[in-house]
Amino acid sequence: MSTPTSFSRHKKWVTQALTNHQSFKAYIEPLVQMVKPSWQASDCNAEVMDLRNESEQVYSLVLKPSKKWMRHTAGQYVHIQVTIEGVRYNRTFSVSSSPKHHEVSGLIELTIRKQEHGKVTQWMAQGLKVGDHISLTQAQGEFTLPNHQEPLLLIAGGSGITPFRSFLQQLAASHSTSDVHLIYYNQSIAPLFAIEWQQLSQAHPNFKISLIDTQISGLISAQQLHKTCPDFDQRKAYLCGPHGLITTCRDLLIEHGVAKTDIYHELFGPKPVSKPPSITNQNQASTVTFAQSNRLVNAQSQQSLLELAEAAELNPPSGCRMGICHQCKCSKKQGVVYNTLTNTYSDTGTEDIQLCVSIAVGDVTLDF
Amino acid sequence: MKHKESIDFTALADEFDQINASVKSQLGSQDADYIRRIIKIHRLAEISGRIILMLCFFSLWFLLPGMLLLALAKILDNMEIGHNVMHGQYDWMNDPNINSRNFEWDIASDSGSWKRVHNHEHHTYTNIIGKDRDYGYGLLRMSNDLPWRKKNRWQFFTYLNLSLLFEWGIAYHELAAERVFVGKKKKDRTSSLSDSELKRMFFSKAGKQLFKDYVFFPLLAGPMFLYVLAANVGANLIRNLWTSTIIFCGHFTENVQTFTEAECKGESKGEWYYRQMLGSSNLTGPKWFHIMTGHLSCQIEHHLFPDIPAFRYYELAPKVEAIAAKYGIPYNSGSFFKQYGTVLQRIWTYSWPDKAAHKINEDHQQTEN
Ligand code: FES
Repeated sequence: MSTPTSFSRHKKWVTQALTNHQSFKAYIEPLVQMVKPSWQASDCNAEVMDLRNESEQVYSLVLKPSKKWMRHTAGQYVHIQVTIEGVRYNRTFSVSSSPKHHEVSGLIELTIRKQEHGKVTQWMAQGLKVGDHISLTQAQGEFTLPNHQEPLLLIAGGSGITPFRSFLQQLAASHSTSDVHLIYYNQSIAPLFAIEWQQLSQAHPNFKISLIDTQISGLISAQQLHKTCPDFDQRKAYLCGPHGLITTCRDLLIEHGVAKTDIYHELFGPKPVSKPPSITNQNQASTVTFAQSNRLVNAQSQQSLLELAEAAELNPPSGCRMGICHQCKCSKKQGVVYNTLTNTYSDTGTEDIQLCVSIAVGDVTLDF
Repeated sequence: MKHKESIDFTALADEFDQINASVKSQLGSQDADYIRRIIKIHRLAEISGRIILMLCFFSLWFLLPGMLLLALAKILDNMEIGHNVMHGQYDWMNDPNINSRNFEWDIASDSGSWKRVHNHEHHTYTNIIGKDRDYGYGLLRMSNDLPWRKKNRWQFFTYLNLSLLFEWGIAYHELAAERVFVGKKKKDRTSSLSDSELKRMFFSKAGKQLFKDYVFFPLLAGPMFLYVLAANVGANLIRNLWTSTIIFCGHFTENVQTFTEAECKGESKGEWYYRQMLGSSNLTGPKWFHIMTGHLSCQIEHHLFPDIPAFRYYELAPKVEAIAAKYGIPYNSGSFFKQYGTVLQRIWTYSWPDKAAHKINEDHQQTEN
């Protein structure tokens, strides 16, 4: 008698033999799409229910995920996929609404900032219409609302507020009595969801919300923290926002005796895509991360990623070394590369690149 | 034809690089929609073919359309979809199912081995005798670069067999290229895979193909086992004949040239383009014909731009031909029957020692004039 594992192994073998695909669903996907254009074998589907502007630069996408989508825990994120001009792009966003909200209405919200040179976030704001379908993954991530009742300190910067909106909405909806203090930093722009914060703190005396404009009150400091939240060192700390905020804040908390294990953080948002610097006068060094081999290598400009990997003795497969054979294909997780053959810059997200004709522009992470 | 020395290879490379970059910048929904449409047609043909074959229970006449549909599906899968997807022509779509890294096709050889040998060796070292093993597949003497041997007398017969069993020939050929079964290792092999891994992949893929066409579906037909088996054999044979015929028309027509390793040492990008043009030949024909050949009917364009979506070759062809004329480079194009005629002639000519030598002398005189 065969064990379940050997059964699934045989099933996989037969599927591959009959369809040349990893799953039967993937094989029939093109046919199903004739009837249901948005259907995909992997991932779930979601219908766009609304696109609501939160500010000039920020909008919330209201989605109704299909039944296949399970549920999220407050603080988790999803990868979504949109197709622009025939190209599929993947992006990651925190769910900014609460699981309770999804339970009741079947809806989730993603709050998205239009990146200055970002192709996808700009396109979605214009190109997505109510009734369109996009595909999304199940929720992922460990930066989640804790189960315990201990007092919390939430510190957010800019769009890093989104998981905390989910935290607070969830706590409010479940009538929690937890003592929560949210400090929300912004630089000379109005805080997101300003009205909601007001309503929440009025309705729930156990929520304290401080909005700080760094332009006026300065960047985070010990003094400021003491003033805003005197018992900050008695709380479990959750930090979400840009790199600078997180590191400063973390150091500060540790300095004041908060245990490392009581600090949770999530680096937020892609690093802003500055306009790609021109290759020729780029003299700032960039770091290439080979994720699977766990190696960091400093890139010299003009050096192809293939040469770089070989210099680091990683020996990726290669062939023609001139951009023809595609043997050197490798999945790029993050960062921008410049293609010396087509003289173009890549997207920032996940995609396959040819190592032999790619040069790193800024920091790049490769799945190798 | 101009002498090689008088061609401005830098300018030539610029012109082709420009075409390459301009097409790449246009890639978009049109290309994505096209390949998805072809994939849909493939699925419809394959599924309906298999179903119709099962109907032979009612009348044996169903075998014929069933077999033809299945052959059509296999040809589309191998030529317009598989070959092109595995060249990375659609990788920019970022769709894992239409991607050179993941694609597996309906043919005996596994995609990984094929990509290593074909994309790298054949496309980089096109028609360099000794480096491009696709030149004659190590079985046929297709030019006087190889000395005549007794076995060449039978090569017309060998060719017919190769055509009929093409998928197996190719699958074996790929492993032979790595000298997995016999002979000495190549010194400069690029593959980091061991022989046993290569063998395992060969047998695993071959096993799957045999299981599908010669065990699973015939068994599904129950009492009609032998009929469905025969129809599946038929579909594979049709595909083999078609693909081998088209591929031979791409590199072995009358005027296609060969090169020596020494000639190509340290060649520039422009010279590489030049070699691709001299080493390939095109076929003219209606649109459906181009699709069925996977646009290998535009072999010249394919060799110049192997990773541009193939259905665009057709519109690129006039531009390439104009550039060829401008630089005095031959552009070898003709109807299927004309080109195929010269292929058969070539196989025949080089079957014999004397005629071949005679022919070369003539060729040499012509180039000198
Ligand atoms: S090594 Fe051939 S494309 Fe990079």
